[in-house]
Amino acid sequence: MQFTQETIPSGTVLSLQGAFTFRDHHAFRSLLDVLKAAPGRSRVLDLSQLEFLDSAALGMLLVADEEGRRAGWTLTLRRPPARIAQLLELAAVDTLMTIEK
Amino acid sequence: MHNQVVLLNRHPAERAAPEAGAVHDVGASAAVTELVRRWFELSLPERRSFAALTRDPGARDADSHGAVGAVSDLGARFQELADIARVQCQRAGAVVELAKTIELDGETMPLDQALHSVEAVLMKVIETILSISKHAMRMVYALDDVVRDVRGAEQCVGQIDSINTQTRYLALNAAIEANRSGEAGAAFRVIAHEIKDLSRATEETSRQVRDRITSITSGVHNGHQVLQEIATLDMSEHIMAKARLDALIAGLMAQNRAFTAALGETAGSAETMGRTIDGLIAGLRPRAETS
Repeated sequence: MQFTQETIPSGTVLSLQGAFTFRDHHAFRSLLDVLKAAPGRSRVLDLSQLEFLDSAALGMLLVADEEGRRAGWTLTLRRPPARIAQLLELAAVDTLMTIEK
Repeated sequence: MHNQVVLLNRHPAERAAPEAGAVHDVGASAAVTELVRRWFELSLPERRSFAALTRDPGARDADSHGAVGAVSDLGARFQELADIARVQCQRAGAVVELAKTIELDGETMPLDQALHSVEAVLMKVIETILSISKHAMRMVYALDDVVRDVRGAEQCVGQIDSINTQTRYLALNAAIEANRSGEAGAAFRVIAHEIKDLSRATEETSRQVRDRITSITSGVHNGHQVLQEIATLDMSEHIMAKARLDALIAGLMAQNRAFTAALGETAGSAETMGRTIDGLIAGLRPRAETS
């Protein structure tokens, strides 16, 4: 999984590409550091280029959400592909964080 | 010209019918046609009764007893049918009630409630999967931090070893210089010896710390590997399976609703059949009594 960062007036947008699995936990920690250091109270993860998401990756997203709650910023998941959106819905992730379709 | 009305396809019960195949003139033919039409509308017992009534009195009495017996027998059979229809109705009602519930741990539970509880269990399983995934990742990151800190401790021990080596050289040099100074260097010789002893003690402590760090590193590494094995077990397919199970539950509930409705209709039909037969019996009784 790779990610690119973009700062927009409303906050920080990180776009994730490829497959996001346990193997990416080091990369996600770097992403988490970027999220923590970003200004403002809103962070967005753009998932539109994501091809796959495993349960460990779901766990990492929940860790990021938890970090945000502690630090006072919100995490939004944007435009997940259909299968990933279904997985997020079945896992009731949409009840924990905002998912923009 | 005379029109002729010929009765064809006569019922066997028509054997005793009054002149049904006779030839009439045109004025009478319409009336005959009407009579014939009515004759065909009559049921078998009615035809028998009519035939008996139109015979000569002697034969009529004998046939009258036969018709009453046949009607009475028919009534009894209808009564039997009505009873069967009522039992059928009760059984269908019982099956409808059974289809709505399920027996669970000795308790009767509505089927939809049971299926909803299955759904709730599935949701709980998914929550657990997510919780395990999140905590596993927290542990992975915590162990990453421990590994980083242990590496830092290893570097510190390396620095201590380096300082200790220099200290040992210093003690050695001090001892050489003390020997060179003769009696005047006696005190330095003692200090150099003490420093050398301290250096050895530090070296021993350093070795013990390094051994413990190696042990911790090994433990953390093993823990990390075990955790990695847990965390790499992808359970997203199990989460996705909920979609299929949701569809299955919805299908089962729809099928149960259709099944219950069909059984309800069956019970209704049986009830209607019972009522119709009761009506037939009631219709037969006066005839039997008046015959």
